[in-house]
Amino acid sequence: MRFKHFSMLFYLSVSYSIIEHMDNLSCLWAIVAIPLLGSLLIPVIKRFHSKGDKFFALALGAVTALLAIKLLFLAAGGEVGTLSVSLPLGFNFTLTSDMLSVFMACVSSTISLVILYYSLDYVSHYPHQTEFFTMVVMFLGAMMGLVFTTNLIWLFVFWEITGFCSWRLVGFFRGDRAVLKANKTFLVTVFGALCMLLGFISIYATYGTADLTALKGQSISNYAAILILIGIFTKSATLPFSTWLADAGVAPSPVTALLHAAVLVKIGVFAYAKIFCLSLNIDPKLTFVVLCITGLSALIAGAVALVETDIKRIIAYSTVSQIAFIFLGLGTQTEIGVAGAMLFILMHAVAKGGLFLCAGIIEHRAHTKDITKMGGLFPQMPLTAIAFAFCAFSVMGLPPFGGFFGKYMVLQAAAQYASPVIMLMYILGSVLTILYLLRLFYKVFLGESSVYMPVPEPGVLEAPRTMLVSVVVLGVSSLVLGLLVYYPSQYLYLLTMEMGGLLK
Amino acid sequence: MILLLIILIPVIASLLLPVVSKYKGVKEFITITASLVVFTLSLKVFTDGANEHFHASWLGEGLDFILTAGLYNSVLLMFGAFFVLAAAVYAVAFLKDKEFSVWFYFNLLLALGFVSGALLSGSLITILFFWESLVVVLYGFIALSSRTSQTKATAMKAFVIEGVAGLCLLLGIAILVGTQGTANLAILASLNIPLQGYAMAAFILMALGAVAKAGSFPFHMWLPDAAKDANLPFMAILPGALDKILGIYFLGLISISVFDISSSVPAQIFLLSLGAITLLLGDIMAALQNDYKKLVTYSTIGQAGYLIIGIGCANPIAFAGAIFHLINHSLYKVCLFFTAGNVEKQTGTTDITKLGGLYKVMPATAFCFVIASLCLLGIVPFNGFFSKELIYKGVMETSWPVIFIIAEIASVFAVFAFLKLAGVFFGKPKGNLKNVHEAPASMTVPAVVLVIICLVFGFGAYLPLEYLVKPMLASLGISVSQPLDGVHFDLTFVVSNLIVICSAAAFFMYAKKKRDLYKGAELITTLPVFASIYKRTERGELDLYNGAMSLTSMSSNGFYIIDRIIDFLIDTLPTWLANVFAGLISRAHRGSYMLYFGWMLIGILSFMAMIYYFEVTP
Repeated sequence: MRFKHFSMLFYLSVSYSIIEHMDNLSCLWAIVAIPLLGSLLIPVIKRFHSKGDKFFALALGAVTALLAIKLLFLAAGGEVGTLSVSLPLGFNFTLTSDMLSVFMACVSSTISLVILYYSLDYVSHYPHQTEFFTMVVMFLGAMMGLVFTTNLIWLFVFWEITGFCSWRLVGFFRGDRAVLKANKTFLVTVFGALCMLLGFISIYATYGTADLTALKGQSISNYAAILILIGIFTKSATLPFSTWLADAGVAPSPVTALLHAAVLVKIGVFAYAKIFCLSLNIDPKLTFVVLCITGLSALIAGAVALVETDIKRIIAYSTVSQIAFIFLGLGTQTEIGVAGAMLFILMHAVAKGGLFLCAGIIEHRAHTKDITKMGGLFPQMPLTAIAFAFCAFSVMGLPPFGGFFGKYMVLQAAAQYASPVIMLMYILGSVLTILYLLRLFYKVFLGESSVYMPVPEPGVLEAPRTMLVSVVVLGVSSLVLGLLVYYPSQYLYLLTMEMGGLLK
Repeated sequence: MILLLIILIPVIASLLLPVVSKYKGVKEFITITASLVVFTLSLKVFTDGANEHFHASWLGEGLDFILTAGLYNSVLLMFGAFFVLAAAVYAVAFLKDKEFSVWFYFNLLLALGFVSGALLSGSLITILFFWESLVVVLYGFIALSSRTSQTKATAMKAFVIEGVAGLCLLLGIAILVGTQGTANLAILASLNIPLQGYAMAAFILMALGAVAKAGSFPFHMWLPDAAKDANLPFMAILPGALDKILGIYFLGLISISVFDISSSVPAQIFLLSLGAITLLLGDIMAALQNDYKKLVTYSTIGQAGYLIIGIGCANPIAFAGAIFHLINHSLYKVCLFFTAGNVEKQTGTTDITKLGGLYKVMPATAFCFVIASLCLLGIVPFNGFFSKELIYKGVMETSWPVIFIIAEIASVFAVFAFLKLAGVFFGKPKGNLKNVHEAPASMTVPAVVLVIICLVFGFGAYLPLEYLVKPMLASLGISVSQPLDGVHFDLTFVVSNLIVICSAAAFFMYAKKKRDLYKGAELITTLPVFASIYKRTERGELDLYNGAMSLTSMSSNGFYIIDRIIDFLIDTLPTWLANVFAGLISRAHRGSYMLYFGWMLIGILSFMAMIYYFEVTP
């Protein structure tokens, strides 16, 4: 173990020293190509070294995260890199590292790294591990491509790769039910993506280009916008396409954390920000409709989370209701609203990822996902419980945890520009958030104990090491990001400045 | 910088506690030292003329991190730190052999840090940050009182109610800051925002949040439960003192400084009616209780009503009264909670019906109880009298003197409640009192100190009014011309005293008939209306929280059905349709040549029809 740690450290420091000397454009190339192509090498490496696949995957994740952080510092310094390969038929492959993309890349790659680390122990007893790691890293690579590309057609391509990876990952356990739900996930998102493609084609037909930078400031027909919104809603699990997310809870916990909390569901909102806040002009009437739908989504998903008894379904519905708050911030099209939404993407990714990973530990120990069969687990797993509580407080939007700031900024923007009815739906949604998370915490960790579980002996960890470390890291980050909110908020302030005239 | 220290010292000290909890006496030492340091620092801020600022950029434009010390907040901060110090000293003996005591100190110091932060904030967003942080502490305080799951349920109830109140506050602040573009209180005060439209909504929401935190109707439901389940020092310090200080401070701030409610009749009516309902409800419920701690807690709720009324009157004299009453109330209410704790610790029960004649064995506690009750009932030379009289005068200046009548009705119940409570000390002795002794000095001394301050503020009411309250008002730009202290033989004085005397007389006569002091209260509590109110409250039927919860769960089930319908529409239905369609198609492909030939013919014919249609018809 010690040797392994040492070699990891050595490897990281070498890659750090290489990355440090890379410029903006080579970073951009590397951040998409390394995980995407590297993932294909994972099965090859497995042939030579039985545990090599895991550590290679972790290394790829670490390099991606390092590159993203490097790009973040470059972007904060005002360097925007664009890299373009000319291809016929509007297929120009362009990657741009603007502040918005870099922020998103940084959030998703660091959370993915933590989740990969967690998975080392989590999946160690299951078959198909190599496929798991391949798919996670490929997903990460596709995510990076999706984040950085400014060409709508390539956005669709990467979008579909993420969909494919999520299909394989949700079906990780090969049971009938898991495969069925994986198919549901895939079909719903592919349906949305195809609608979106039609929208993109219609834009291409109108303006002769699919490049978002060239399309900046153009207005978009309602027909195309609705088609794109369907795609966004399916990916971000918004009403009426929200139920696949909860069903996808059959996947292993790190997958649910990665796909359904931290990264995949953020694709939709990110695309909304990139397409409708940063580039094309959307009809204000349509924005109103979006806010109504997401408001209902917040309300209904929150209420369902209060009724459900499966721990992962509750957290999944909670994701649905919290995604709505991000939409609310983006929908106001104001500087503070967009900054708040991006801040909430960060905080929610950390906290919700943490909640799902905690759920994984709980499921591991309690051998059930039904919260009515749990209770009084606090003494058995105090660290998990505290990490869970921190993440839950952050999702509820209580200070000093990070989620508070995102939620406050979003609501402040909404208080100014959204209608009172929409506000009411969101406020009720926030009340429900407090209720269902508190109920979940109470039922699982406090309450009457109904399953027998021995208190771990002193010296024995409550969960495998990498799993415990991951949840504690995410729990503590929820608090620390709240205390040090100055730095992300300052970055986002610059970001909204950069977005310039498109925002109110 | 000193302001930052006031917040950081208790927070850092609290983080040290779990580390050092192994060593005996260290956690108590750290807690007392930290609160003493905060008290000294806040005293220094006050004596230096309260002129400190701290400004740092934070969340972007208009949302800066600002701390400011003015006279208005530094005086309250001083008292807050003092109460925390008293509670810390008191808790040493009270929590001696209880489990989780380290978490009590941990939460106490965190609460001190957050309350100081909220009081010192010079920006709405900073206030919100610190104040909402207190919700987590509150949950910890209650949930870590004991191991029972009842405690956890109460903690959850408190958390939900305070969380909803916090959302009101958040929404109000969001609306105000969103429309004005800044959260800086100094700038907002200079804008003279008229109280209408969005500003009115913001005011109502913020006021609701503030009074909710102060424990007013309809957000008071968790308090009686907490009285039963939580540690007593917690009840003394948060609902007894800090919650009220913070809530009324903020209410005063938004009613006087940010907005000016003297020009808005609806805002005044809102606050006055809320205050009147809270006052009446709190005092009636107090008179009905049979538990020492719950009685004092309900009285706390009632007293919040006075404070809200004092601010709702929107005239300087009532506001002066509200601030003075805020200080007085915290002094005697913390003291009353301490006496409840002494009784609980020494006798093991707080059931009024099982206690009696304790004054012989616990004279110091009995002394503190008597003085604190006299203060609370507003008997002439005690401090509660002076502050209440100012509020009454303020009420008489408004167009709604009916509030005064409601207050007097409430005070009948208050008299009954506290005379009933007096039965604990002066009623017929019950059980064996031989093994009951006076509480240890570390528990009686804080109570006695508080009583002494009460006496000073009563007999020398001139001192606090002249040197604390007037400067506080002046710092908000309010000057009061008439003298605030002194006894004036006017209508309110005569009526309020007559009512106290008459109800006390009625109580004693009935008690004499029943031959036990606490039974005097049966004069009202056996009245059919009140008896049924009491019974139904005990069963939780009148609890708005339970009602709201069952409403929520009902509507959640409704939404759940909607969700299932949506799932049917996007999952089951398309799958079914696809299967049906595929079934039909596959039925048509059975491998029979004749069938395929038929299909081919139909195909050719339809092509021909199509070609005919497109080529010939135009």
